[in-house]
Amino acid sequence: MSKRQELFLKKYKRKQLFIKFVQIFSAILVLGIWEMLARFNFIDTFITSYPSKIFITIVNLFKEGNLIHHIMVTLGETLIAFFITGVVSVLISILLYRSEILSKIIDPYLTILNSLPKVALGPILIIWIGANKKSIIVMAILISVIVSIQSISVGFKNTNKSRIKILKIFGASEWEILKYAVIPSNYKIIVNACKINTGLCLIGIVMGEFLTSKSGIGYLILYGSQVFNLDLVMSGIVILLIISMLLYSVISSIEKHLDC
Amino acid sequence: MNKILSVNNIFKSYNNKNGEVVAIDGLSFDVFEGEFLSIIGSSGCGKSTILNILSGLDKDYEGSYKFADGITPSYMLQEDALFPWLTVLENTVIGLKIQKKYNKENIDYVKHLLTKYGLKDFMDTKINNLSGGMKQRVALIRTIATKPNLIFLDEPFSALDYQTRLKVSDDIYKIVKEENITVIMVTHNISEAISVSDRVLVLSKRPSRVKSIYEIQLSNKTTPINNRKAPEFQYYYDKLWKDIDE
Repeated sequence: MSKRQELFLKKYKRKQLFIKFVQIFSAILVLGIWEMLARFNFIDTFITSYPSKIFITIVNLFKEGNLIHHIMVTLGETLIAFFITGVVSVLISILLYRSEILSKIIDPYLTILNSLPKVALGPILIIWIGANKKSIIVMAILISVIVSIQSISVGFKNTNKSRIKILKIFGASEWEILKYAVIPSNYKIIVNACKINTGLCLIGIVMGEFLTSKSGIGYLILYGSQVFNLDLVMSGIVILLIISMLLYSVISSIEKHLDC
Repeated sequence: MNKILSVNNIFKSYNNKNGEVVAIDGLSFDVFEGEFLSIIGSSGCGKSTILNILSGLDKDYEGSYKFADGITPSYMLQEDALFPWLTVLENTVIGLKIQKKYNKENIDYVKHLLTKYGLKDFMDTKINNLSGGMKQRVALIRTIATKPNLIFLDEPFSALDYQTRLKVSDDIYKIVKEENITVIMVTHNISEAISVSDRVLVLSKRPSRVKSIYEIQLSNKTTPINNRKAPEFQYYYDKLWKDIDE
C-alpha cells in the first residue's frame, strides 16, 4: 500500500469515526440534558416525563406482562398491511404495465387519491368495516399502497425497451416478458418501495389504532394521553422508534442479500 | 444461389396527431442464401423499420415479404440488451428457454459456441464484468443459439469505440461465416458496409425505396479489417457516398 493510500484510509476512517461519535454523542447529550432538567426541577416532569422514568415505565410494562402483547399486535398488523400492500401494488403495477389505456385512464385518480389525507377516511372505514383490526389494517394499506403503485409502475414502464424487444424476437409471451425482463429489472425499485412501505404501514397502523383499538402501541399512547400519563405516552413513542428501526434494518439486510 | 427472402412493395407510414410520415414507399429486394447483405442510407430513412417488419415485430405495414421454407430468422440489436442480473451462459440460453428448446443438446451447443469464441472462462461471470466487445459477442451468440439460418443486424457495432468496432466486426463476420448464416445488416457506416458485405443496398432518403445495389468485389477478400486495404475499397466508398448524399 502506498503512503498516499495509507493517509487516505486514515483520514477516511477518522471521518467515519467522527460521524458515528457525533451521532451517538448528540443523542446522549439531549437525553442527558433532558434528565438533568427534570432532576433539578427546571421542567415539569408531569408533562415532559424524562429518560430514566421512561426506561422504568418500559421495564414495568414488560413485567406486568402486556407490553409484549401490545408490541406484537402493532407489529403483526404492520406486517399484514405491509405484505398486502406489496402484493397488491405489484399486481396493480403489472396490470397498468400491460394496459397503457387503463394506466392513462386511472392516472389522474391515483394522483388525487395520493394527495387525499387517508385519515379522513377513518370514520367511513369504521362504519363500513367495523371498529376492529380490519379497519386498522385497511387504513395502513390505503396510506401506503398508492405511493407504492406509483413508484413501481413508473419503474415497470421504464424497463429497457431493447431487452423487451429481444424477448419478443424470440417469441416471448407477455408473461415471459414480465418474468425475464420487467420484474428482474425492477427488483431495486420494488425493494425500495418496500422500504418506504414499512414506514408508511407503521404510520397507518398507529393512526388506525388511534381511531379504534383495544391494544397496540397506538392504543397505549392514546390511553396514556387520556389519563394524562405522559410517561406512558413517551414510552410508547420510544417503542415505536425501536420497532421502526427494527423493520428498517430487516429490509436493509434483505436488500443486501438480494444483491441488486 | 437460392433466394431465401423476397420483399415485395412494402409501404409503411407513421401516423400521429400532427400528421403522417411516410417512412418506406415501394421497397422491394431479394436476399440469397449465404450472402452478407448490408442496407445503408442516411439516418432516419427507415432502416431499422425494415428489420422490425421482417422480424415480425412490426405488423402495421402494407405490402408483403416471403421467406423460403425452413428459414428461421433471428435479430441482433444496436444495444447489446443483455440482462445484467444473469451470467453470460444464462444470457445466451434465454432464447432457448423461451422457444422451449432448453435441452442438453442445445445447451452444449451454446457452451461450444462460447468456448469457440473465447468466452469459455466467462460463462459464469455477470455481464457487467465484460468489455464492450465481449458483450457484443455474447449478444451474437445469444442470437445464434437458437440456430437461425438468417440474422438481422441493426447497427451492431455503433455503440462501440473505433478500435473495438473493427475488432468486433471481424469477430462477428468470422462467426456468421463459420456458422453459415445469411445476414442482413443495417448500418449508416459506409466503410463497414463495404468491408463486410457481399452486396450493399442503398436506400433513398425518406420515403425510402431501393436506390441502387452494389455487388462488392474486392481482390483477395478475407477479413473485414483486411478488406479495407483492398484497392477497390475507395472506388465503392465514393460511389456509395454519392448515392447516399444525392
